[in-house]
Order: sequence, then C-alpha cells, then structure tokens
Amino acid sequence: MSDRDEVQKYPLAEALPPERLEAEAEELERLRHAPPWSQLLGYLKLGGPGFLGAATTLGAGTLTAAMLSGAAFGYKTLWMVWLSMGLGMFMMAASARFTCRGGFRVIIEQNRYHGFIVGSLMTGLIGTAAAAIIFNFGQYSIGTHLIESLTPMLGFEFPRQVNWIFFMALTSYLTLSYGRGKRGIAIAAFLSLATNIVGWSFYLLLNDRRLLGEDRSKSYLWNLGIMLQLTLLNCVAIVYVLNRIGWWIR
Amino acid sequence: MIDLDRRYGIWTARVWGLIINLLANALALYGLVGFLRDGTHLIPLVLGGVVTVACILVLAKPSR
Repeated sequence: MSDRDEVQKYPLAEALPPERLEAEAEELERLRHAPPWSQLLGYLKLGGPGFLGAATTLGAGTLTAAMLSGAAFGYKTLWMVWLSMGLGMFMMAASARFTCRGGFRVIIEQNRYHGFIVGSLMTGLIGTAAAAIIFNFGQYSIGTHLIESLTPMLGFEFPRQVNWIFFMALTSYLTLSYGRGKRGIAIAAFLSLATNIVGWSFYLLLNDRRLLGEDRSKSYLWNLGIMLQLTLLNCVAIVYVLNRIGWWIR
Repeated sequence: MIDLDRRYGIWTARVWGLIINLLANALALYGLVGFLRDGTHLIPLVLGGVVTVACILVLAKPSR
C-alpha cells in the first residue's frame, strides 16, 4: 500500500460498522434525487447537532467586536456580520473535510507541500498556539474583572492581580470535566443556560424604559432578531443535553 | 393584547415569556428528535413549535 493509499483512509468512518456506512451511503444517494423538502429533512437528520454547534462560537470576543463596531460605525458595518458568516462557511467546510478525511496531520502535510515556515511556524506556532493564548486574554480580562467587581458585594476584595489564579483553576476544572459523565453534562448544561440568561438579560435591558428611557428598543424587527438569536442559543443548550443523555437520532 | 411590562408574581410577562419559550424550545426539540427517529412524538413537536413561534412573535413587541 502506497503513502497515497494510506491517506485515502477515513479513520472516523472505519470506527463504524460497514453495514451502517453502506446504509448511510444509500440514504445519501436517495436524497440526491429526492424532492427538495425531503432532501432538506434528510440532510437535517444526518447533520445531527452540528449546525447548532456553529452558534457556540459566539462569545465574549464576538460581543466585544460587535459592540465596538456598532459604537464606532453604527449600523454601517452590520453587513460585515453576514459577510463574515457566509465566508466562514467556506473555511469551516475546508476544516471539516480535513477532519473527516483523516489519515494525515495537516501541519505535517503543510510542511511537506508548502514548507516549514507556512506549516510549523505560521500555522502551528503563530496561527494556532499563539492565537489560542491571545484569544484567552479577552476571556481572562472579562472573567477576572467580573470577579473583582462582584466580590465587594459579598463583603471582601479580590483584585484581578490575585484572582486570576482562582479563575484559571476554576476554568481548567470546568474545561476538563466538560461533557464527562453526569456531572459534566450538568456543568455543560448549566454553563450553556448561563450564557442564555446573559442574552435574556440584554434583551430585557434593551426593552427597559427605566434604564434606557426613550433610547430603548422601539423596533419590532430588532427585537425579533434578538428573540430568534436567543431561541437559537436555547436550542444549542437543549440539543447538547438531549444528545448527551442519548435522546438523539440513530 | 398582553402587557409585557406588567408584573405577574415575581417577574414581568416578558421574563415569563422567555421561560415559556425555553420550555417550548425543549419540547419542540424533544418532539423533533422522536419524529426524526421513528416518526412518533408529533404532538410535542407541533405544540413546542407553535408555542415557540408564538413566544418569539409576542416577545418581539417593544415596550410602550
């Protein structure tokens, strides 16, 4: 078997029983010729919770970028959100292809085809390792600032120069237990719901006359967009729980 | 039409609406999974879907 043949393997698929794969391939072939509605329903069934997983990338970074952009340019840059989501799908599709295809490591192949500078240095060290660390700066900044701001309400000071140790220990524990066992499911569900409640709170504040007075939301369309977003985030949390407890499509 | 800013118990109708929406989302997804699995659970799917759409449309109304 040549190296190329080795690369042709699909390790993720090899872990599944052959008859199940054949049934899935037949189903995909049938869907190709099915009417549009059946096609959509069929792809939805096969897609699993993946399409909702896309929404989990919304976080502090997105919130900050959207607020800064809105504060500086108003609605003029709103089109960029749609453009970036649309363009993001192309790159996500490329990443998904690498992951599903398997049988090789991307950075090693980049080194082979495009050289060490593009592979190990730019993709591995700068693009992945450094970017992951730098993205965490924002999360640490918000998290430690929140602890510093909220602890006086409990009657003591816990400045960010010190509380980052607590923050790091807590987030490490949560990350490592994420999705493991019943406790992991409960933690993940709670965190997802907590994120939703932040969204609910923003929606309520936006509509609060006492806070914003005449600057509150008076637009049905704006509120409708927020409600759709909140419902999507609700669905992400619910789908995760349903999937983890085994209530999912076979 | 329901006044979303009026208090019902400890919260306003807007907050209760968000909670009902969450429950309806869960019901709809529970029903959807059952329906896609073996064609059952149509009632929770339809009920959850209808309540979800109703909640979204009602809660989109801005405050007076």
